[in-house]
This record gives sequence, structure tokens and C-alpha cells, in this order.
Amino acid sequence: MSDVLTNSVWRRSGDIAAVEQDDRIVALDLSSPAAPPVVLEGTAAMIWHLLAEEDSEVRLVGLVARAFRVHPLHVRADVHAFLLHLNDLGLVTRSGELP
Amino acid sequence: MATRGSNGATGQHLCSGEAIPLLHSLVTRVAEDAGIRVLFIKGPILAMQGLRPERQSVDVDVLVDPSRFEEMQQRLREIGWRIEVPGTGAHVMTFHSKAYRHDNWPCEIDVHDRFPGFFADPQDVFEVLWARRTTAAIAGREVPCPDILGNTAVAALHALRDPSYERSRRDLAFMTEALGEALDQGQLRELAELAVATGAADTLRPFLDAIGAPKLGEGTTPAKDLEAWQIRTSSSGVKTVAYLYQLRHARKRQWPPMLWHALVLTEAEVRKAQPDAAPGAWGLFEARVRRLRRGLEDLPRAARIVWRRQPADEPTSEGVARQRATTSGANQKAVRA
Repeated sequence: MSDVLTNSVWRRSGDIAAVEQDDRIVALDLSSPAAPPVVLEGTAAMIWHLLAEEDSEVRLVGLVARAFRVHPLHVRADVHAFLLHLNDLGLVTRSGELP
Repeated sequence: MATRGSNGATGQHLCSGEAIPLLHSLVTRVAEDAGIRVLFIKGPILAMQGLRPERQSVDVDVLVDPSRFEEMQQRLREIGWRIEVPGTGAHVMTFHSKAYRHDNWPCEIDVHDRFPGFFADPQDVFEVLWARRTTAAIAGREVPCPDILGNTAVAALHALRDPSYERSRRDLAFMTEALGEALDQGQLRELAELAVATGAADTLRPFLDAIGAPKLGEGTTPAKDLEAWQIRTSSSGVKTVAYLYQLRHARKRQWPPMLWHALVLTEAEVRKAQPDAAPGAWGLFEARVRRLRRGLEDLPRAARIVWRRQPADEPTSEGVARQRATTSGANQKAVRA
């Protein structure tokens, strides 16, 4: 949990292809052509949209919390875990921290 | 939140509308990494280029630099793509593509080293199309494809191959209307020259005439090629034709193994064509009998198609003229229907 409140900045990887249909996104990490595509729906799709521009994790947590009208403390762990998961899948990169 | 793949733990599946664009990007990347030139033909790019109405494609068609064809297939195999059922049946014309499948994807990639109807050397055809390549934005990536005139030739040949199909008629009518208004005289001439350079001056003729392109290169297709095209375009759906055509051009001593293979085919091919066939040897036997019965029903029609034409092993101007007239006549009806 020590990473949860970091100021990490996340962005979509540059080496992906993605299609979007009806609030559902399917993304493919082109740097791993054998890897299967990844389906993002619901909150996952929302965070993906938010990552159209690089953003800090703190701000992403705030935006998700606002969308669901809950306190950021309630979603920060899930958002953090999801970002790490996308990172493992090669779909996003952590590009450092905001000053 | 995220699910890996079409066969992921939560059972989510990709639809073709999602898979087709992604596969264009995937194949582009695989080809780029290997330094292999590819061009995407048919598919969603045709609609983007205004050459057909929007509709869902069922597979991805990619034309590969023929000199790197085997290597491209190897690259696909290395990432899990495979030919599920190798085709061993007869074809009137040299078969033009290999269909690859993958467990993670709901549709096939058809890997072409040639496209039927272009009778110039496949490498020459590729170079002509490559020289006029462009790119299309699909799934957020730029993928290589023939330009509008190049894809027009491909799409028109695809429709002219099965002129009796309703979809072919619609596609030809759509292209004729769209391009008849859009192309100026210079572009019409360019298209006619492209047809000559790719050995499609005769096969594309009905379409070229319909859009008012100048008559260039008529009668330049070797008679045997034109005969094969003529037989293929007049036998859509009649599979027996290919076997008869193969027998007609084979030595008599080659007939027994050919006939035997025509009768039994491979188990995988028979089961692919008849997925409801019962398992086991008896199920296979029944499926083969059904296939044979259908083949025999088609036989009289197939024989008329194959044997009503004179042998055309050598190109003769008289033969070319006669076949061109027949082909043009048959296909013209399709274009104007």
C-alpha cells in the first residue's frame, strides 16, 4: 500500500492498438504480438479514457472517486492495483512523478 | 477490471468488429519487425476508400511480398497462428492464400501471395500495388494498403470472380457508380494501365468498360489463364469443377491418385465442411458419402462448364478473342445487373 499515495504519472503505452465500441475497449500490446487482447469495461474503460492524457495517480483516483461519488480513500487501492495490472499487460507506463 | 483475451477467465469474447481492426495492426507490426512488406486488401479499408458500403468483414486479408511469403507465415506461426485445416482439394487457379487461425481471436487472417485475376507474375503484381501504396488509420495505427485505384482492381476482381452472387453484383454496382463519377479521364487511364501491368486487362475488362476506362491491353492474357478464369467465374459454388479441370489437364496415369483423393479428401477437410458429421469412422464415412452424392449431383453441370471449352494450352489470338468475348459477355451481365 506504500505506493498508493504516490504522485506517479501514468500514460498509455505508445505501442498499442485499441478499438472502442459501446463503452467497451479492446486493447492490444503490439510489443508482445503473441499476447491476447485485453477487454476493458466499466470502471476500467473509464480509467482508460482518463489516460488519453498522461495524468497523476492522485488525480486519477480523485476523478474516479468523483464519478462514483465516494471518498478517494475508497477507490485508491483499486485504482492503483488496476494501473499496476495495466502496466503488467504492457498497456500503460509509469513515466515518473509530478514535482 | 480488465480481462485478458477473448478466452479470458470471465468468458468475454471479442466480436469481429473488434478483432478485425486489431488484427490489421498486429499483422502490420509483425511484418514491420521482420522487414516484410505487406498490403491490406479488401476488408474495412474498402469502405474507408469509398469502394464498398460499410459492412462487417469476416477475416483479414493481407497481401505479402511473395519473396517473403514463407517467412511471413513463419512469423505468424511463432506467435501462435496456425493453419487449422490444410487445404488439399483441387483448384481451377493456383490457390492464392492460406487461412491462419488463433485460439485468442475469433477470425482468420488470410495470407495471400497473389490475388486471383491478376495473371502477371505475383511479384510483379505486388510491386505495382506496392509502388502505389498508401496507409489507412485502423485501431489507432497506420496500416499499409493499396491506394484507391489498386484496391479498386482488387475489389473488382474479387466480385468478378463470383459474378452470380448477389453481393458481387451489389459491390460492382456500388463501385461502378462511385468511381464512374469520381474518376477523371487521367485516373481511368491510370486504372487501365494498372490492369495491363498486373495481367488483369482481360479479367477486369467488364468493370473497366462499365466505368468508361480506355481499352488497353485487351487479349494479352495467356489463353490458358483466361480459360481458367472463365471456368472459375462461371462455376461459383460448383466444387466438382475444380476436380474435373485438374483431371482434364493431367496425364491419364495421374488420374487414379487424383480421383481417389477427390473421392475421400482428408478427414479434417471433410469434417470442416460438415461440422455436424458424427464422430468416429462411421461418421466420417457417412460424411464422405454425402459429399460424394453432392459431387455427383453437380457432375453434369461441372462437365458442361469444363468440357464445353476447347483446350487452350497455347495462347492463340483466335482463342483469346473467343474467350474474351465469352468472359466479357458473362461478366458484363453481372456488372450491369
